Parts: sequence; structure tokens; C-alpha cells
Amino acid sequence: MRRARRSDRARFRGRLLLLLVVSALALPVRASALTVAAMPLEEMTGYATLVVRARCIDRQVTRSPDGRIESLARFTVLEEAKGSATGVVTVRQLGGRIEDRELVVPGAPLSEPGDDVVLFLEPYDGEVLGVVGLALGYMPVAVLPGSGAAVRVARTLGGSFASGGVRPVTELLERVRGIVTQQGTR
Amino acid sequence: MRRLLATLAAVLSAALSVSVPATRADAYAFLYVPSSQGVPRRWNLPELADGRVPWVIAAAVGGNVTGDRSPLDVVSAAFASWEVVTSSTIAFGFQGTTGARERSARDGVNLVTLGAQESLGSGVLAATFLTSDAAGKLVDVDIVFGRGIAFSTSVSADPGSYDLEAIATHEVGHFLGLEHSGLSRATMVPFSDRGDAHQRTPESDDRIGASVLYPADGFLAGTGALAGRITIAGAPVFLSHVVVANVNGPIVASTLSAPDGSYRVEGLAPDVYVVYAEPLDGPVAPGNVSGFRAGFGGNPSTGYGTFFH
Repeated sequence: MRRARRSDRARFRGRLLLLLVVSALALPVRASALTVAAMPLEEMTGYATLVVRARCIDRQVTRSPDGRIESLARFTVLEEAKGSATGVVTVRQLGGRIEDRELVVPGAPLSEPGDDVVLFLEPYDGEVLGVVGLALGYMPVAVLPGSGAAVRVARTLGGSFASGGVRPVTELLERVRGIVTQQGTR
Repeated sequence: MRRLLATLAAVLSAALSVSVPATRADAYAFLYVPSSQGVPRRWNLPELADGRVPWVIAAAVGGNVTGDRSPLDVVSAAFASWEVVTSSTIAFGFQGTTGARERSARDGVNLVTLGAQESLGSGVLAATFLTSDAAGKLVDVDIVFGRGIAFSTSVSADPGSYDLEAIATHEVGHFLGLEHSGLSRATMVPFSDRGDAHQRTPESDDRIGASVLYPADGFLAGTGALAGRITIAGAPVFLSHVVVANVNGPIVASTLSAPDGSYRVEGLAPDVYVVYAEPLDGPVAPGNVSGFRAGFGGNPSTGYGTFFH
């Protein structure tokens, strides 16, 4: 019986090791995106005219004269890392619902009131701003017990974030400020 | 040894939580883009002429597209790559070129455009706009490629450009109703490199998704499903990446857990499988599966590692 257990255990360990190898193979290692070009943090910061932590106030869905459904989300700026905002910014988002018609763009975030996010923003149309790289420039903030406000960073951001994982928001914003100083754009 | 014990503890924990039956029978795989009613968006093929989804391509093409094939040939090949999935009935019908180059959500024309002036945002290579009713029936889908992006139509991938066929195949996957995949070798993974052409051919995860959405005769009867629930200390885990691998190694399919922690992977051929659950922690991240999140609402769970079962 004991021998049988050892055999099962060995087989289980073998499968576990195999799975670990398989999962390692499943990890993406490429540097660019199919729908979006995954950019390192320096490049995203360079594209953005405004990098802020902000909270969504509301999101209005509109239909343009040519029939396009899109959303305009308003955010209260909580903290700036690049550029300056007047307190509330309006951001164009792809998708929304009007009557019986729903538009969705896979990979394009849609905000809900109360959402706490770090936004990399660029000019779109007048006062309305766009998000750099769809989901790449839209990082939801979660408040974790004991560790405070944090964001899940993509490995593609590179540098000190190359290992991915969950990092404090303050670390991300400080890194952006450092890049801005290096790039001399502020 | 301590690490092994910790891993085994995680396995046991996962085994206990995964064995709980799903409480939500319609916890669809994240392969799909759910409507506001939580059902997959898809075409109603029987009501379409010849059961084919029509599409047109804009005649105007920007100077950013180079290579030895025409954009129409490349995009046609992308559509065809999904039609050859024999376990799926999805089919498309090319309707010709059009002078229109900008998308519209209510003209009922499924447009593919490489000449749009619309700004998709910095770094965006392409986007697919799916319009449906609340019950999930697709009524208008447009594929827009980013302006100013260097695309190659060449048969041999150009290391200096994005491979148009690979990207088009991915976008056609959205066109038929698939979401992004967290598996790096899948066509529906949202990441690629310049010169990377591997997404030209749908992989297992992609083929199963297309087959479950549009099953050929006998497909559902001849396959099974794996279902369960991901929990930590009894609390449901939302947006956990659940991966199904053949016991001998190859990954077969994956999904995401619903807000109540339940998951369900359909279309699996009879075999022995192992399942593991992990955080969706990048490069494919919750933002990359926004369609799935929007369909269910809620925010992803955080603060856990990989569980094997």
C-alpha cells in the first residue's frame, strides 16, 4: 500500500512538473500586441499628454450622426503624474448601449461610476481625450488589505515592471514622473 | 521540500474548490463576448443567405500596406482559415468592394477597412466593432485596421511589419464572436510581434470556441464539458484564468471564471485532462477581456497564485 502511494505520489509529482513546464510555455513572451502594440512604459508615457489616477463619475453613451455608438466617461482626477488637468477629464471609450443596440470592442475598457484607474491619456477631439493603446493605458486600481492601492502591471511595461504582478500605485506614478523628467517633457 | 509542500497544499485547496459543482450553468467560456444578458454574441446563421455572414472590403487602402499579395487576398485567407474548422458551421460570403471607408454601426454592412481615417488611439493595430441586440444576435460588425501602422501582405512574414493575415485572422475571430484568449499560442491572444505570423492558423482553443458557437452536426454530442468553481476560503474568484491541458501536456482550451467563481469549458473530446487556475496577470490582463467583464460586471479578484487540479 505504501509502495503504491509512493508510486502515485511520484506520478503526481511528474504530472505537476509537466504542468509547470506546460504553463511556462503558455506564458506570452512577445513584445507587441495584435490589437494594440504593447508598449514599454517609456513609450506609453511619451504618447500620453496626461497620466493621472482618477475615479469615474459617470459614462454617457452617445450616437454620432453617422450612427456610431460610443461612450464619454467623466473622471475626477485624484493625482497627476504627467501634465495637468482641471479636476475633471472626459475620456472617449469604444462601446456602449443605446436602446436595443449594444456595441462592444474586445479589448477596449468601459468604465462604470466609482471605477478607480490610472489613465494614460492623449488628445482625441477638443476637450475629449483618448486612452493610449486601449487597455494598455487603462489600469484598474484595487485596494488590497494591508497593501493599499495597487495596480496589476503588464510585463510588457518593461524595466522594473518586467516581472509583472501587482504593484503599489505610488510606485507606478513615481516611475512615470521619473520618465517625464528624463524625457524633459514636463 | 517546503516549496513542494506548499504547492501540494495549493493543489489540495484547488481540488477542494474545483470539485464544487457550478452554480451557474451558463457560465460561458471567456472565449465569447457576452451581451448585457450574459449570453454569447453570435450570428444567427439560419437567417442569413446561404447561411453565410456577408462582408465587404473598402477599396481604399493606405500607403502603410505593402507586400506581394493584395489586401483582399489576405483578408479572404483570414476568413477562410475559420471556415476550414470542420467542427464548426461558420461561413462567410464576400460581397465585393465598397467606396465606403469608415465604419457605421447601423448600416448592416460588415465592413473591413484598411483605409479608415478614424483614430483608434496610439499603438492600436486593429479593432473589431461588434453590434448586437441585447439577446446577443450580431447585426453589424466592422473591422478597422489602424492608420499609419506598417502592415505586410507577403506570404513570408516581413520582420519589419505586422503580418496582415495574422492580425486579420485574429480580428475575424472577434467578427464571429470570440473574445481574447490568455493562451499565447492561440490566434485570439491579443499579442504579436512584427513579423510574427503564427496567428494565421486557429489553434485548439480557437477552433473549440468557433465550434461551440456554431457547432457542426454531432460536435456537441461527441464532446463533453468540464465545469467547476474557483474559490479561496469559500469566496468566489472572478476572472481566474482556467486552463485545460491534456494529461500528456498539450494545452487544449481555457476560459475565465464568472463572478460567482464558476467556469465551464465545452467542446472537449473524450480524454483525460488536468486543470489549473491562475490569475489573469498579464500580458493578457482583465482589460484585454473587457467584453467578458462588461457582460458580467464586477471587478477581478486579486491576491492569489496558481492552483492545479
